[in-house]
Amino acid sequence: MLSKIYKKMLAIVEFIIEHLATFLFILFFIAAILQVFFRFVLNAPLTWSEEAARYLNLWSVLLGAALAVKHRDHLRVDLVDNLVKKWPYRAQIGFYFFTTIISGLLVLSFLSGSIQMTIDRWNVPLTMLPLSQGVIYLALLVSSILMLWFFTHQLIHYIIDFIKNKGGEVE
Amino acid sequence: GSQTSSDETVELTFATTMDDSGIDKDLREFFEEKLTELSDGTMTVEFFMGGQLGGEREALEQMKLGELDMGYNVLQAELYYPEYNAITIPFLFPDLDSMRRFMDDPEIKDEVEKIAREEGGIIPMGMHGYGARWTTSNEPFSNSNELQGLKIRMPEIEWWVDVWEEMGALPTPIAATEIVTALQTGTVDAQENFLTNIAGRQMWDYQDYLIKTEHIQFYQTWVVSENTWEEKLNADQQEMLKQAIDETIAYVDEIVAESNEGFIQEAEDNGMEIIEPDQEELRQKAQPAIEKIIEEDLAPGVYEKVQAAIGE
Amino acid sequence: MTMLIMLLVLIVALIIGIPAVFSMGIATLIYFLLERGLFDIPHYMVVQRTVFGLDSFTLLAIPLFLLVGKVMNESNVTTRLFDFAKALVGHFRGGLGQVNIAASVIFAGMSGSATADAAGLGSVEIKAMKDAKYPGKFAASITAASSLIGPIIPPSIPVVLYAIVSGVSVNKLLVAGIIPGLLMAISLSVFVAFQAMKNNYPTEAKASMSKLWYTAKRAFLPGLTPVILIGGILSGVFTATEAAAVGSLYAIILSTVVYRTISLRHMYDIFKRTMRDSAVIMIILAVANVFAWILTRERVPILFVDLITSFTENYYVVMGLCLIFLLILGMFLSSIVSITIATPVLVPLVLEVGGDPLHFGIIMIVALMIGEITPPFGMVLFAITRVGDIPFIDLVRGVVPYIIPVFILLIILIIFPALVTVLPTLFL
Ligand code: NA
Ligand code: NA
Repeated sequence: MLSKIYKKMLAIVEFIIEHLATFLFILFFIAAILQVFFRFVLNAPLTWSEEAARYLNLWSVLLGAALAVKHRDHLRVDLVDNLVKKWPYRAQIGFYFFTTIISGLLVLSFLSGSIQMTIDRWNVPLTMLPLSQGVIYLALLVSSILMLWFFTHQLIHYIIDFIKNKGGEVE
Repeated sequence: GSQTSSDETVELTFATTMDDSGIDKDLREFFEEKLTELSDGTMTVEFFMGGQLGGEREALEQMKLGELDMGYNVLQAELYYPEYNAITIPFLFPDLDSMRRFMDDPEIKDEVEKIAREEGGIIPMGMHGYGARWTTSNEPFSNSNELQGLKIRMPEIEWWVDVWEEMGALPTPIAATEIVTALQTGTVDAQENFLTNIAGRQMWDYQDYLIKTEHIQFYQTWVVSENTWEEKLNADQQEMLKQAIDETIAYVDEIVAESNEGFIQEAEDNGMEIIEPDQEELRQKAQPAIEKIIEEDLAPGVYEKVQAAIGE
Repeated sequence: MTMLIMLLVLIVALIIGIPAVFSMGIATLIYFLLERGLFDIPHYMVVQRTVFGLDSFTLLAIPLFLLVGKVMNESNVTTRLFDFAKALVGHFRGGLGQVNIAASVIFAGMSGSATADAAGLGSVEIKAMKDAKYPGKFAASITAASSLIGPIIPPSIPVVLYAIVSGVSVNKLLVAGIIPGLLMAISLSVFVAFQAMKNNYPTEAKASMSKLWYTAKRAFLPGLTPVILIGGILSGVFTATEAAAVGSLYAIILSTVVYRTISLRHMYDIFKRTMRDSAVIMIILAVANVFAWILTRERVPILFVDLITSFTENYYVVMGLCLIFLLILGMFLSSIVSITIATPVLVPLVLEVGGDPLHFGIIMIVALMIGEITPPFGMVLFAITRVGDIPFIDLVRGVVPYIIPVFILLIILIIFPALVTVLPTLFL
């Protein structure tokens, strides 16, 4: 029951960030187009479009990076997999558990730093847009919370698999 | 107050986005020599020029966080105390001295320092100037009529954009690193900058006219991290650092006029036509935007201090 | 010492399969840990540099270049381009091998990475060559080799990365790639002609004028994309980012309104996948910014320059050393990661011995491209085995000889820098 609710929640969050990140990406694209259109066609350059494009993209990238943790999309050298494949099942799990923990350390650093910076910069304005500079750091804060969740999710699965010990290749 | 004894050596990190060339190189060397001399070699500085450690925003954050000890910038005013930042309004002050008189007004000085410490964790230490900013363009203009519709590159400073828009130009924000490309390709027709930069980037290769708009004085404000000042330096060292900065600023005042004359000559020799526009007419045209900024963005009473400093 | 440990941690983390972004992260954390202790790690610095690493308008060219390439791939214009290339050069010695190269040259003008070429155009090319009874190994390996032209000719994702890290004008760099890209096509083409002679591969019948005209008409509208992208940059009307935005808009209108090969729903899906691909690239660049900050603070580039120049200050020797370093780096890391790591260290060295960072940028990218088609970590190889349905080991055997023409090109570019710099000097 609890696991069903959790799975549903995970799916909903994933759905939301994926579409939110896509939506922000499209907005960024539109801002870039508007910039060109106003400068070349209307001959009236926009002053805010560049900043808007930059920060829309920044939010989109950071949400997308969290999503990439969930989907294991981050670029890596996967040579080691061929070697690890031949290990006993539990050794494989142990190995991937270890590398996931190591990866997660950066996320802890992100989390700690972005909380501090978001608070610290909340009263400092951006240049052209009427927004706080904290909004930029908030993107990394949100992203690192999501990454932390997805990493923890993977770690728990490794533990469960380790206990079950069903053999064969991991993933 | 500090625990450090004066015979210990202190190494300071220094960052600015200004390149290590021209006046900046001269003053960097002067400052380094002066501090060594004053401190008998016990205070040394490691310089990171040209934005090696990041842009101004980043450098200021790093100073607040104690990662960086000092440097010179302009952005702190806009970020932390914009309501006292009258010296960033174009056409308002006639020269650097009047800007300094304004900043040195006891009430302004106290308030600015208080906010800079509280919000930014930095202490302003005075400013050195580079002379006024001029305009380079491929379209000549000497009054606001001829300026209409001119696409001019502008840094992302809202007040500057407002004022140039008011005068009828089309300010376009473009990154400093892409100015040359933007001029070459006709993305913009003009840019405004200080003479060191205009000559340093050899603007005559891309622009035909050098226009003496002198719309604002260009300066950099020296800042020291509050953390460094309180924790890393003892009273003697604070004094030595202060004196080295003061003397460097005085040194810059001495050399800047002559070096700017050289730059104008160099531009002329390289085929740029020098135009002396009707500055007063441009200022009149910009006046509504200036008044709007004074009214809406400055703290009450600040404008009176400006007038007092100008001597009106 | 701390620096060496940091680099060692980075290398080990990469080798044991930790994603590049987290490998850089753990390396920087280890550095801070050793320098300052566990409780004084400046997490805010990690965060500040990461966030500001993303705060650049030039950088926005990357997602937009990805977008235009994806839209072009998904709208089936690749077939049109291939047909045109076939009518144009199919009768030359090497037949569809030459067509394969020509198609990649055209496609290079609308896509910014080798993998986009390999994964998109590649499937069309390999299928056509197999249908025409060319050996599968030959088909797959020339497809792999020719896809390397993609990021040399603008638009180019590696070029944008290099421009951002080195501070060289992105427009100049993009334009600088045009001649080297075309030369790469020529050197591959000569190599294919030799191979075809040796193995007696067929050629296609010469296309009639009407056939050529017909295929040219069909390829005309998609062919305008490179005109917008490259022409916009070359004439200086647009910044790279703006050119990429306009190019994307054109590609979107072409495929959704004119050809109607992409529905709005499909278009949304393309946006979604572009977002995901670009996030993976850009987060690496962002975290590499923390890494670069540490290198600068520790004055590593200066120390490195001193170290190398204490042995030699000869320009060609230094370029040779850089080349060897890049070839090794390229074998193990993707070009994206390699550029972000190598640029801050190598560019000061090249400057010190009188080199031109504009010229060196193109050299670096061509050199790293070799790594894309060599094991163990060749992104293009992976893409081709997937779309070409060919065993990995066969592909590797087939593609290795193509390193020769690319390497010869590299030597030529090093000896004659004007081939790189003449266009940007002339136009920009
Ligand atoms: Na090809
Ligand atoms: Na390309």
